[in-house]
Amino acid sequence: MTTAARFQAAAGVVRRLNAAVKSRRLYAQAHPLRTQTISALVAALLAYHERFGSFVLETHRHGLIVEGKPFEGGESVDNLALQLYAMGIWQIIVVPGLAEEEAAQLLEVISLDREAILAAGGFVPLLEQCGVTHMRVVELKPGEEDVAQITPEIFQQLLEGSLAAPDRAMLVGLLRSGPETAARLVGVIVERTRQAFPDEQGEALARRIYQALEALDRLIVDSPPGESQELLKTLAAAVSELDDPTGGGVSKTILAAAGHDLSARALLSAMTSEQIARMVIPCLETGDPPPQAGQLVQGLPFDPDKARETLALIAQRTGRSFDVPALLEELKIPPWIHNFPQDLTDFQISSEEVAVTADELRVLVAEAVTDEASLAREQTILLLHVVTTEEDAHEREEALQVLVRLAVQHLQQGDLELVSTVLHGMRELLRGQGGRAEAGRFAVRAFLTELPALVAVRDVWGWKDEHPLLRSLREIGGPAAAVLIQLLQQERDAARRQAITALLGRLGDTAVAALLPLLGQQNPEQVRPVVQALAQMRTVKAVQALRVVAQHSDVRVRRDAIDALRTTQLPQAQDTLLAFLHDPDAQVRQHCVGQLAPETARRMAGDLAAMLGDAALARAPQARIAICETLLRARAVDVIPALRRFASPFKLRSRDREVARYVRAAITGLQRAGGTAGAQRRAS
Amino acid sequence: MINRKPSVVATLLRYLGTASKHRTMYPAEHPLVRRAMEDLVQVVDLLLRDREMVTFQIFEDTFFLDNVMLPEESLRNASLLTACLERGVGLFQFRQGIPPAEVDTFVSLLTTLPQNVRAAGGAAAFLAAKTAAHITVEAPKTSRPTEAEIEVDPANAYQAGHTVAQELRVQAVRRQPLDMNKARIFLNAAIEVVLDNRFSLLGLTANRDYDEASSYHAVNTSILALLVGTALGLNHDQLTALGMGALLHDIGKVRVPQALINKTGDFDPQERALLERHAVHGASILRDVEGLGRLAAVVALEHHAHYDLSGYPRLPGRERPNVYSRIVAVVDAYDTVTSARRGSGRPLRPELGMKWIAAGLGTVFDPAVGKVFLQLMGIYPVGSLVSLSNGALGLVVRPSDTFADRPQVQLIRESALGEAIDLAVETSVYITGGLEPDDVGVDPAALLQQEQP
Repeated sequence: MTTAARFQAAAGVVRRLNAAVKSRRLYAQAHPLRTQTISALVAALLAYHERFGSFVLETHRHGLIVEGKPFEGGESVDNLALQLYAMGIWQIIVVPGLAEEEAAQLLEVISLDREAILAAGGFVPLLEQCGVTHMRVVELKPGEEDVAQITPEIFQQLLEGSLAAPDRAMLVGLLRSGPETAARLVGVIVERTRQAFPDEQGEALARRIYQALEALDRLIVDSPPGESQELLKTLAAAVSELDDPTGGGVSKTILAAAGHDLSARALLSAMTSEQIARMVIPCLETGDPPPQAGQLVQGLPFDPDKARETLALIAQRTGRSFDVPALLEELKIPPWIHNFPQDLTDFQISSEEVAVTADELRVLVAEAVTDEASLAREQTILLLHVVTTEEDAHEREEALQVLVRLAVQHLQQGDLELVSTVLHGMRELLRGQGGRAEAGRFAVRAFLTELPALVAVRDVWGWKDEHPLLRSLREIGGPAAAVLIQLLQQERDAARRQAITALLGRLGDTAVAALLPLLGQQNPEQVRPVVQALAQMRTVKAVQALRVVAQHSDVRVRRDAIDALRTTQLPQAQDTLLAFLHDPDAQVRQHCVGQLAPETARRMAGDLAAMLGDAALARAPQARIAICETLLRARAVDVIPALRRFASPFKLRSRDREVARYVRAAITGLQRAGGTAGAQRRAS
Repeated sequence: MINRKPSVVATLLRYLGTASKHRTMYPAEHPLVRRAMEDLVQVVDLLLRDREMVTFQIFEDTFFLDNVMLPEESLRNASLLTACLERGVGLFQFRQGIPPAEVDTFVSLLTTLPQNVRAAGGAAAFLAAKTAAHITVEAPKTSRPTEAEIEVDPANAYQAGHTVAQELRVQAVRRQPLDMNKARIFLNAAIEVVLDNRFSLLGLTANRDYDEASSYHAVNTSILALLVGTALGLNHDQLTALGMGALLHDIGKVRVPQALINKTGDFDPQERALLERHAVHGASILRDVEGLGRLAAVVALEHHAHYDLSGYPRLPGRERPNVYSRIVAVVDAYDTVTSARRGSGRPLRPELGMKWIAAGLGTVFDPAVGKVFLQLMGIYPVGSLVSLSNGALGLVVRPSDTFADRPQVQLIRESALGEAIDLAVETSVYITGGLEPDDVGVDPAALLQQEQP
């Protein structure tokens, strides 16, 4: 069922009402058109009632409002609107069951002039006198707080709890005006609910209406003390007489909610037994099993007498009997409601126990400082807790932005412990799932982007392992390294690059895993900083990781790696260097050979000697010379026989002859070294 | 009950605001403007009937009538206050014999564009050019408006708190920035009241017919926190921070489903988790508040964390909640357990509320803060119905400064207040125990209203 269908049906009713009013004015009483138009009106209403329940027509000075929308019916309908408005009619509500006689009577009443209506005491008594029971008229009362002021917008704000102060005052004022106005208020609230939720009916609509009543109750809670009980009683009375478009659904909803909802319970508590009985009886008559009685008892946990009295009234009027004691069992009153816990009642407080020492006071006051530094610190910790506990992604991200800004400020001010706490929080986020981890990565990146500009390279290298910032960055580990690497690859400022490298270096093994994949990148400019960083770490793991670089296609990268390995001064660096020993590039190989420690060279002497005949080095005499020098430096006397193969002075190419000269010199040197070593051995 | 009849002063400011508004919207000869001007002239006459002049000053966004602070009027007439300040009017004085034309001139000053007022040489020159001899205006001052002691009507301050709490809640629902200046207006007034007579607001907090989500709970918590703050000797800034934190401690509840706020009885784990999220929601709402308000966010987050951090939310990296949170935790708990909670549970009697606090010292509540609160309020707080050793029934009306268990009581005879006894002086009589109001058919809140001067 669509809203449009409902509006169409309502529009049909309005057109027929207009036709009936016009024919009443234009034709004599016996004219058949008068009867026909009334029949058509009643038929249209019947069709509307069957599908949509009660029909409500609202007037305004400039037109009619149907289903919450202005009704464009031309001049004729506008005249009808003005006629109704001028007579002080604000709403016409037609409930199901309207007979043709009643419709005719209504037209009679509408045709009266305003003075005649006022003389009869107003529309409401006049309709009663005429026996119109299926139609109600809500009158405008100029000069008073008027229910007509409750626009759909105000209604929406009422539901959301965002009413502005004047609107709040207006609604409370309406309740304060007395039962009649309160009844009209509740009527309007029901109507606005129907308009706001046009597709809902039955139980769903009843729940919506109850939510609106609940919102009114919240207004009462915030009304001035001493007045709230009276206001609640007025609202409760109006609710008990509510013209329920759902045929008792609202009452059922209130009764169902009474066991667990404050507003429903407050409404029931504010009603008299009579009012409650009036509300409950129609619910019982629908033929449902009577949970309502039990709900009623649960809804009045503080007033079992009223529950008993109400049930007696219901029993008397419906002829149904209730097992009152059994129902009262349902009450399940928590013992503390009537009997406070004994231990609390027995708890004794002595004057001595509440004596506060001067020291205690001094400590409290000292904590209550409100200087800027303390406030910023508190705010930082607060934001940290918010970002780690907030589930709303938007809120979390906004909080993170502020948190990072504050963390940077604290870093500038040297409050490293606090910065460390913040980083700890970021680590918690990174350990989370999905959006939370993503937010953590964002925060780490935002913080680390600022960090290189705020730390000096010398300081970073000087940090001890227990330095708060270093400790925290190491805790974050891989993600921090990834961010720093990214920054390093993008950074153009030399000082900052150094700082980033230093930071990466200090991260140590925790960053190696993150760095390893980066070594495989083809772009040398992206790999070189990674190599630098790994070298700066000076750890076995980092040095071993550099072995991968031997496979890199760029010569500069491989050379960098060899240089970097040299700077580590770790014994394990020699093993890694060996990976570069057979590099296809002669210069790299030469560079590598030059970095070999004597022990390594001695260990690899055979290979090195063999390399002198390697075709790849044929055009690189300097590399071969370097091998000779290295072997000599290593005193690798065992390779003398192997060297002799390359020592011949009879070479075709001058570069080979030069190499041979170095080989011979190496042999001589090694023989001398061998002799010295033998003499030493003999002497010993 | 608070007197809801508006004072002449409140009416004057309201009419001045209305006349200015209508004058901006409609031509001077419009019936609405004429009616508003007539009303304004009438109320100015009424106010000057028994005095030679009436002087309004604006200081820290608050109207003062001579030395009387008008917090509630300042909040209700915020646009008038802004209009004055924008035109450089920090003081305006109407003198006896002021003709309607001059009142009209003053309204025209408030509706002239600020730059035009400046072009005319300022507000005083503007009025002088129109020969408004019965009106004096001065520029806003940075010092207190008077050297005389500032007076605040406690009820006015209390009502201002209520207005502010509701307004801030609406702003939070609409996700608008919170207007902390308004909170400051209430707090300035409340601090004045508390410093002047720390018990004068206690009687007003005796209304117990609300629940935790009510603005009354926010205001009462704020007042109780200020009392603890003054007992600790906190300075004005610290009191403001504390009051703000207390006023807004439950603001996060606007993001908890209403059905849950309204629910009575037990919550299932999911519901409990949703409800407990109000602390984080509160911190998020208050996250961007600047200045002292930053502590309000901390309080909103931590007020259920418990002294031993066994509460919620978890606060890693904290050894204890912030001291402001610890103070608010105590007063919040007291106000909650002693309020009616409208059908969700029977309220504890004030002295049982005190026992509730005392039983939680060292675990839920900070022992030092709790003891300060217990000493301040007394073991039998104001509003307690007590039976005395001489068989009489008494209502506690003032705590004792020296003996926590010997407050001042007023005897109750035939449901009305009788003679007062200071039990700290009259040592032969002592309290034998607290009584349930329903059991003796007495309404302590109503009796306290009688007792209020």
